[in-house]
Amino acid sequence: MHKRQIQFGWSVGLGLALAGAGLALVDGAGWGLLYAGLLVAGLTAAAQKRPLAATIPLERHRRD
Amino acid sequence: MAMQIDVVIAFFLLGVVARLLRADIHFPVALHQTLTLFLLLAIGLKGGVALAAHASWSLLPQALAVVAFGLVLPLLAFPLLRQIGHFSRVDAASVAAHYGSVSIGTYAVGAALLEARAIPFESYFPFFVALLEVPAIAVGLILARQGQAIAWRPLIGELGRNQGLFLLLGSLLIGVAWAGKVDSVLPLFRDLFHGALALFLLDMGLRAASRLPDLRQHGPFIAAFGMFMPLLGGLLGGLLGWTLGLSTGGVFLLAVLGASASYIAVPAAMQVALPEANQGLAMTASLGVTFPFNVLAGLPVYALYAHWLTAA
Repeated sequence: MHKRQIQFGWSVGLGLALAGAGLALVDGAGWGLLYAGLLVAGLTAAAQKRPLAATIPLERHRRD
Repeated sequence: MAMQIDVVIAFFLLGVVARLLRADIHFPVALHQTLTLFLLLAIGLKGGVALAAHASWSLLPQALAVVAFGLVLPLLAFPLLRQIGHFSRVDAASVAAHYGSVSIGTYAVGAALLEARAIPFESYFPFFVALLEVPAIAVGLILARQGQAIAWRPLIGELGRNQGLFLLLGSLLIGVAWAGKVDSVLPLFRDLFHGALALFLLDMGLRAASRLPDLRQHGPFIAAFGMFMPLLGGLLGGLLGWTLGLSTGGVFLLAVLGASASYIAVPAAMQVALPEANQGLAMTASLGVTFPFNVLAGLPVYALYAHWLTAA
């Protein structure tokens, strides 16, 4: 996974989880969002465990 | 307008659980095809009857705004897919086109939820569904072929023959032209709608869960994009509905349309227009992530949002 994809995954996951938790407190409509956010954050964390350098194409790795 | 899990959505969950537990369920392909035809005809016919009653020039600015909305959505998705997802131009354009178009299944669930709770909405909405099917395909193609000649003729031919658009527009026209005489066929499409939708969602649950292993291949980006994009589209759709002065139900449905991604009309069109695009990417995102996300998590949030917008 590229660095920006990891950042996007974390942003969306945590954003959804926070928004979902907030909405769940107010209305009960946010539980789905909360679970979806945790799922994205979990998938991103799992992807991050793989060494970034191994998945970035060589020329991009050199440039970074 | 808080929404608990509806009975039709429970059937979707049943399908997902059945596939995850590898239950021995074989849903015939012909039945899926039959249910899709039924839903398209039912939505089109009811919309056509309503359109005949409400047709006026005041609908024109609303229709133009809806078409413009369909043009904008893929333009928002494309840079995300290119810059963050590092998709090739063709793949990004193809996925963007799916997200600019609409899912008839998601619309059907949204409309069924409103009907079950007796929340009124602009009953000519299927007209907007038909309008939103096409613009994103054209934008996607222009994005993919920037600066190159585009073969429009086979694409227009494919769109004209596409079952989704053809049946939706056809039944809409029948509803408009025979508005006073559809009583003899309406019971089939009206009374059986929720039951057929439940069966359809059971199959969609099986199909969506079958796509989950693809997520491992395409990575968390697809999952994040497939959940972020419907929220963006829903936010803008709701805002547009509110600006157009729609009812709470109408604002909700326009948010649902903005949030949904096509998995019937656009894949067929893209196969003809962009055969080199990776269809698996778009189908995993739209069917494996966005459809379940909308049905399980998105719809209650769009309902709350629509209520909040129209109450403000």
